[in-house]
Amino acid sequence: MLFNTVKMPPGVDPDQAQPVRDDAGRSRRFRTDVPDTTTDEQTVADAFRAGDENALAEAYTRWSPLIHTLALRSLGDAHEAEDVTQKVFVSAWRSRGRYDPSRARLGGWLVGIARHCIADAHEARARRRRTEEAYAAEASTVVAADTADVAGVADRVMMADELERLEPIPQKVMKLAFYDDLTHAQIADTLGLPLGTVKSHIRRSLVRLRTRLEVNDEPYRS
Amino acid sequence: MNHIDPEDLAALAMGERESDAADEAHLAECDACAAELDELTRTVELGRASRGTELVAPPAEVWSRIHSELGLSGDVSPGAAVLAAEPARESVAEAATGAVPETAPEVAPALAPVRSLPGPRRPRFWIPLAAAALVVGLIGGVGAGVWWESARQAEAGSTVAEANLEPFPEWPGARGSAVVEQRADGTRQVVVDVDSVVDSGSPDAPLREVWLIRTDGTGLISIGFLDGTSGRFDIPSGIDLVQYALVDVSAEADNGDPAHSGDSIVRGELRVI
Repeated sequence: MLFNTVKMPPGVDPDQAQPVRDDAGRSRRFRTDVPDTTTDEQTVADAFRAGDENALAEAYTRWSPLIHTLALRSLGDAHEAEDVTQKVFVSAWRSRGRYDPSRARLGGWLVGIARHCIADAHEARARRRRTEEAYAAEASTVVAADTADVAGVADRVMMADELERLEPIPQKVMKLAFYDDLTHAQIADTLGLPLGTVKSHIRRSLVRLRTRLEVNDEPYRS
Repeated sequence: MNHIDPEDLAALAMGERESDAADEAHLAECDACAAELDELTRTVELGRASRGTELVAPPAEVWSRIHSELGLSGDVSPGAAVLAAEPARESVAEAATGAVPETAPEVAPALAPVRSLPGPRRPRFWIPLAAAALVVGLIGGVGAGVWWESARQAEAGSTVAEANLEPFPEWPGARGSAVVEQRADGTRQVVVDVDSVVDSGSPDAPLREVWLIRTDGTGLISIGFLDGTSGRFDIPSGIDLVQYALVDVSAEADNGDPAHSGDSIVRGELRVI
């Protein structure tokens, strides 16, 4: 029997946190070990598309903080942000037949809608300003809608949202890496984890975060 | 072509290490690695840029306005279909270390800002109201009533242990990892990833079987066969991973013999995390 004689492959220190370095000549294939869409999100997305009102409520629970925060940061006005949040979910529900679960996660689709609604809000603002200026008989300076960084804001808010959804240990690892600029070794020391585990968490989390930050920015309106 | 190790790519993206001449040479000629590095780097930049971004939930009246504008049924509301579920956390971590798992405040209600929580959100089960009535008493049952577990729980439970899988002499260059995940209902699975060198892909390649082996060598159980480079295997509920701490991937002939061939490809000891 092999098992009582060989506990670990020879030459491997079981306490070694660092995996053995690659030998020359190995070939690797990229692994996609992080699914894009979780089964339950898929279930909610399908039910949403099928018109189940409970799925709308679940989608609101899951994504309204993200949408509202995005609107708040893009518009800088609480009242307008609430209006945008309302419009996003109303529009999404009314155009749910045009949502294609195979093309985007529901959250990404909602963020795409939010961008349109935020752009509309900026335009409405600019129109109001021009009207006021016209009334004031001043030289009309066309104010461009300040939409330049909505996409950037959306990315950051989605990232913050997804970080909160990581498992506790990977979440700590990533926050120490992103927010405290610690090296992998410092993270390992801080959390009392093997260095190899930290590296593995970082790779898995980065891949997961990357796949979950996709926005479907296609027009949702006919 | 030798691609850059995925963990090394991640380390490059994080700025954890500088690329050396070999990396640069490879990135210059390999679109896949270069694109992967670009995307990971962008993800890292975003991650750093998200510092201080606190999510703020909308006030409750926003839902009321949506509800009335769309003319939804009276009983539909966020949270109405939520049953908070305490996961049975009899994790390897506790068994091995006596560590008490972290608890965290429940998700903030819709009126309060959602702050960065120190720990995990508790897993929740989402059950449609219509079905909820039918499945009361069936909680813990499969399927029918469970409508939405928290996103992570369905995809992957809490990670409770990990192992680096190291090669045996006959399989130089093989390597892999095993991650044990525990779900809210207490069931455990191990996700085994191996390098492509283990999966030669040729028709006459041996079958590869995944085993849990007792550290004292007195027993082993097979938990399934590995296809490709990644597999997810259920761990029988009675198995104590503190005792069965070795994860082993063996090369097996297609001869119907259920015993371990003795030809292990990689093996590693689970570490509680």
